[in-house]
Amino acid sequence: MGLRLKHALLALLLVVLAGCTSAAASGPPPTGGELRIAMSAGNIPFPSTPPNEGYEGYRFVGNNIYDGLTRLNLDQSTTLPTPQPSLAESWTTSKDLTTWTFKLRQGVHFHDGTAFDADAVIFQFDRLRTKTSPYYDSKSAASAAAAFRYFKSWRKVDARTVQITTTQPYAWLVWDLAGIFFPSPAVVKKYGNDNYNQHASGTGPFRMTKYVDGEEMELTRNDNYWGGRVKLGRIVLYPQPEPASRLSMLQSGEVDWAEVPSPDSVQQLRNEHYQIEMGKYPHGIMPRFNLFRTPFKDNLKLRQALNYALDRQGTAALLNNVGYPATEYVYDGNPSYTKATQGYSYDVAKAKQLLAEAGYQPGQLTITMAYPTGGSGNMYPDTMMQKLQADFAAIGVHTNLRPLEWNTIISIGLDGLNAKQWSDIDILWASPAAGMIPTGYSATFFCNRPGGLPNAAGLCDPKIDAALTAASQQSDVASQYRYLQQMMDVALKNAYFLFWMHDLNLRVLSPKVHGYVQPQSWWVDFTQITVEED
Amino acid sequence: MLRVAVLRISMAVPILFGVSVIVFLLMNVLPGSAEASLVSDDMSAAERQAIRDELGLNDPLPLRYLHWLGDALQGNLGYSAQRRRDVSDLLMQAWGNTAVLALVSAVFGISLGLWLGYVAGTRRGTLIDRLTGVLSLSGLSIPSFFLAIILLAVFAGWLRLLPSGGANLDSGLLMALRSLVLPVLSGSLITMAITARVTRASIVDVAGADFVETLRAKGLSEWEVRRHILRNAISPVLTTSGVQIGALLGGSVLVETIFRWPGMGLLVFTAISARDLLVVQGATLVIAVTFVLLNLVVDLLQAWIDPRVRGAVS
Repeated sequence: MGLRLKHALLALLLVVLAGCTSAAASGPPPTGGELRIAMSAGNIPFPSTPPNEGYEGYRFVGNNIYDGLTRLNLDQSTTLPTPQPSLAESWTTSKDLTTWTFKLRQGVHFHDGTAFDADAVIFQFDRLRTKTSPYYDSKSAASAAAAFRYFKSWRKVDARTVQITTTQPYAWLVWDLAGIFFPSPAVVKKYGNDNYNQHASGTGPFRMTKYVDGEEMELTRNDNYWGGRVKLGRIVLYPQPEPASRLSMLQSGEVDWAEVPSPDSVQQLRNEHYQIEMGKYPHGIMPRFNLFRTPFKDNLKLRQALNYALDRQGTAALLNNVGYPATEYVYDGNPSYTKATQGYSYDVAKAKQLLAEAGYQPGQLTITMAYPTGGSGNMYPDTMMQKLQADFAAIGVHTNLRPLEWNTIISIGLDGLNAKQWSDIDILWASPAAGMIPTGYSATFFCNRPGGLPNAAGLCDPKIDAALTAASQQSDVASQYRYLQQMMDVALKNAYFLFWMHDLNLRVLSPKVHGYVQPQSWWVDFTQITVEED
Repeated sequence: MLRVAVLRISMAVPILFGVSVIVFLLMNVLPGSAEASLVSDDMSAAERQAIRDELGLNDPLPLRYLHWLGDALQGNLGYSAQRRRDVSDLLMQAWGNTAVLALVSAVFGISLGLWLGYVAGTRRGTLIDRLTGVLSLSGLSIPSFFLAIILLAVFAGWLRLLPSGGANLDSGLLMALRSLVLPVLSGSLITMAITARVTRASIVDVAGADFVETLRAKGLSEWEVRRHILRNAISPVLTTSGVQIGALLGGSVLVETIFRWPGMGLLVFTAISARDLLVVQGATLVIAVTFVLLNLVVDLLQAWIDPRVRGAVS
């Protein structure tokens, strides 16, 4: 009986496997090579507009399949990437910075062969913003809301000109437009919003040629790309949230690029002649004090004490120096970085003194800090939190660690620390793309978020509101950053955050990969990369 | 036999109902919001409420459950806003992948466990008996994720003999079989260990029964005697195998994550993380139905093999 059962099961298995083999397989990659990437995301970002899986979705999927009206110049590593002409080849703005006119690039086609024009722009704006539009996509609209925060109206002027008006003078519209992608209206109309992802079609340098949710995505060079044919033939994306597995994928030669391997593996990989890529970019771990209530509300000395108590260099050493100490919210080299005030050093004596001046003797204060157990872009929370707990203990502050899922941390950021269910949290982990896109400051620094809800951590400083508002209303870029530096200075002096660590964006490439540039951004340019063929 | 089947299937209905209620409640008491991965912190309270309305999250819990149940009974498991796909499509894809892995793991683990248990049980006190003891104890003690990482590092990273992950079921039979080796070894170790221990214990128990002495006294060959022992000892092995296969079909989160195997375990894990309630509900239902059907098959098999069981059931 056992033998018969076994034979039957084996036969069934072979039938299943044989059935599976009939599915279409990809052909050989075009010239320029095939770049296979192990992402840290738990799934393939879906190719919607916008994609999901955070900035990893923009990095690997959004910016490759699609274009925005503007695009960051990610092909260099020397400066913070800024918006450049893309589907809009030029633009003008009214003096009061509320009316923007964009001249669209001519001769651009979507991957399905249809033409890109002003109608396609209006179609997408309506799809993401106009509830009465027949193609309104409420789910994409929710994800894209931040990019539309100051949109008031939009209209087609002619076939290659569109005009956008904003709710207030707003110089950073061109930054927001880098994250609004344009799908082919014909494809959206044909398949509908719910089935669009399997047929995604943009104007970008790569077109989607295979998409198996949960398994892989294949992007093949768009030979008709308006910006000229890119060098790379094909990109293949694999999701792998487990660092040890990403490492094995790289070492086995199955991928040429692995995101964020374990810091412990860096030396070994270097010895094996892999390319270790690290560099400053806008990403930090900057936990937020709960400023709605005591002990941190109106207690500058306590906030300063905890900032002085952090042994940032020690934390970096624990992480094998894949991150480095933060002196302020943004990294030194970011245009928003202020040199007016010195950041917080590691000074236990000063921390103890400030703690006493704040009204707490050693052992008197117990705080609760919520942090994520994982999640893309969170560096190494467990190791870092253990170190933080020890650092605070050294000055006599006891820390209750509250590990939560990443989804829950995001929920807290939405609800705010004044929400009843989160009000017992004293410090909330935060891992902002600090300084990548200036509009990103709005939700974190303003007293009221653009949607009208109070700042999630209770931060409310009129000086910050004034500086940030002024920065967004300057036509001159240098003046924008001057105001942002003022804002950073106020935040630093008042210790509104726990200025902790900057990430170095660790990723590892095979020696076969050439032409890669590590930009000061979460996003990457793939157009100049080549992969040696075996 | 038909009566047994009908009786067992009717008993499954309240089990499935209970499981779906418990999972629904658990998902709703977890901290965090289902819409968190869909919205921006820039949105107004009204905009966020509109999304919650669209997802049905503002309805009272019992109403939400009844909506889901009503749709599920009509074969509609809903649409995952987080994955932008029909839940039934997601489940079919994941269940198919897990079924392939589970089937091979079960065949490998149970066959090996059965053989080791049989050999150890019929050769008590010998070296092979002791080795089986060590092997099965190791199988129970070594966490599957630890074994998976070691196997991955050695056979994929270092020796480059086998792929590091992915189901690769559309890359040809040979590639698919190669992709199965490491996840099967990692996932089936515990199945092998449990089967070996249960088989050995059962064989030892039956071998000491009076009827075995009688068979020998009647002059049956040792081979014939062992065939009788095995037939009488198989019942508990079948029971545990059913549970083991059920567990394998539920998908292993750790093994599927480490080997990038897009199955049920990985699907449920990511769905829980994203508070994708419809996917978790649907997956739980599928896993529970699988368990119930599998146990039914095991019970029927037992009744068929062992007249004592048949009599007890009927």
